[in-house]
Amino acid sequence: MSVHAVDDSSGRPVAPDRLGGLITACSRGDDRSFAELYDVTAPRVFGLVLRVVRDHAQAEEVTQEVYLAVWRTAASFDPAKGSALSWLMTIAHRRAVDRVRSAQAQTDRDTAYGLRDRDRDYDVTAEDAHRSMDAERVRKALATLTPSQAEAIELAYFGGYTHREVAALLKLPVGTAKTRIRDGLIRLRDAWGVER
Amino acid sequence: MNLLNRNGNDVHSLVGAYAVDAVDADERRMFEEHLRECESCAHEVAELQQTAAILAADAETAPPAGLRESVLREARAVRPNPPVVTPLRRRRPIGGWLLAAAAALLLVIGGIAWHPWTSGTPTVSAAQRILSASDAERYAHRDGSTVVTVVRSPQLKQAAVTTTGLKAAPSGMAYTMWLIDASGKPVDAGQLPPGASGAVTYVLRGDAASATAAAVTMEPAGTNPAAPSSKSIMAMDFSS
Repeated sequence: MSVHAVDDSSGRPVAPDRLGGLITACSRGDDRSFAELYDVTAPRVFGLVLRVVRDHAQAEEVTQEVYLAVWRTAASFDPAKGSALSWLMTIAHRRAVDRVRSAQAQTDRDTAYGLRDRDRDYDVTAEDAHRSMDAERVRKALATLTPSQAEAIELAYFGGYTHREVAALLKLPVGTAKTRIRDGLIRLRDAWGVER
Repeated sequence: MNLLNRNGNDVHSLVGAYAVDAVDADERRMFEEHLRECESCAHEVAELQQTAAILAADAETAPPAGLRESVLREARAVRPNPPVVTPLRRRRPIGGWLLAAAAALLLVIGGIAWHPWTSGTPTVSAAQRILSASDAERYAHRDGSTVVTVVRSPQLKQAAVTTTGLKAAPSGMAYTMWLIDASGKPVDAGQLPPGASGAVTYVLRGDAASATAAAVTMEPAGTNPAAPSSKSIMAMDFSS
């Protein structure tokens, strides 16, 4: 499976080199490349951010922050250290998590999460009319995890919880949650044949 | 509260949690310190972040229509930060630089002829002029079935590189040419197009007549580095 490709909203595959090239062009102030980078990646960035922060208006704000950070720091992208998509999504995830944690005091996210998502169980049939083929593959791969690994990864990655919080939510000893997260990611990595 | 020992094995076990930002601020700081000295963790983090990035496909959602315009507008008002520039080690004698060479295990196959760099104009004739100059000097670097030859014409003050069996550069990277000046300083002589492989001909930028050597490094594609970011993978000494 190609793990580097990203589909844009039309489902057209985008070569990884192309993304890297766009980011490099951004570092030189090429705003047309920046617009193209946005068009190709925004559904994934916005989708991830929305999933983590949940609130639509905040997701917009964070997405905007993410792209501004990408524009400013494009020169720091180093293809030797990982793919362009990974670089971008790492920035997006970090920002989303930072936002949701700083907003934690004002929201009752935990309760909402417990009600809405704890027993979603990666249902392939649900609400995914617009999902790309990648999403389908992701769900299949998630299904190969043990339920406890999938749960820990879901809470950590999409929930934005720290591994200690994940442990508390799942009533596990602290060391166990981080082990499950790591083991689950390794299993996905191997399933997808991810190489740096 | 902190069960992690700075030097203990436990630090490594944070690698998965760190890759998905499931660490608190203290752990993040500590782990990033650790990452600077632990290559295996750095490698694993990169792989797991790549893995996590794929997970995000599951969440794809069309962004609101107005967002694009405000993102672009905001970016246009800001200048991208410059790259972190590594200070150039000037005056380093070419000998050391050449010794650092070698090692590139270049393999086979391919066959595209490439037109020289000059602003997109196919100046094959410029390359041909150099290659067929009466005073053309040839400096070859061989590695298995890969041959990279720099051809220099002092009269024309130009040099070209021709290859056979050149292995394509890794994704996002490009072979970058350097001419080493009399003081031993490498001067950017242009980049082979990303993806170039097999038989490539390329005219070097800069004054080849006064150069003492040519060298090749691998740099991010599309950049014009002021100095090589790493050791050369090939070098051709013009005095030999």
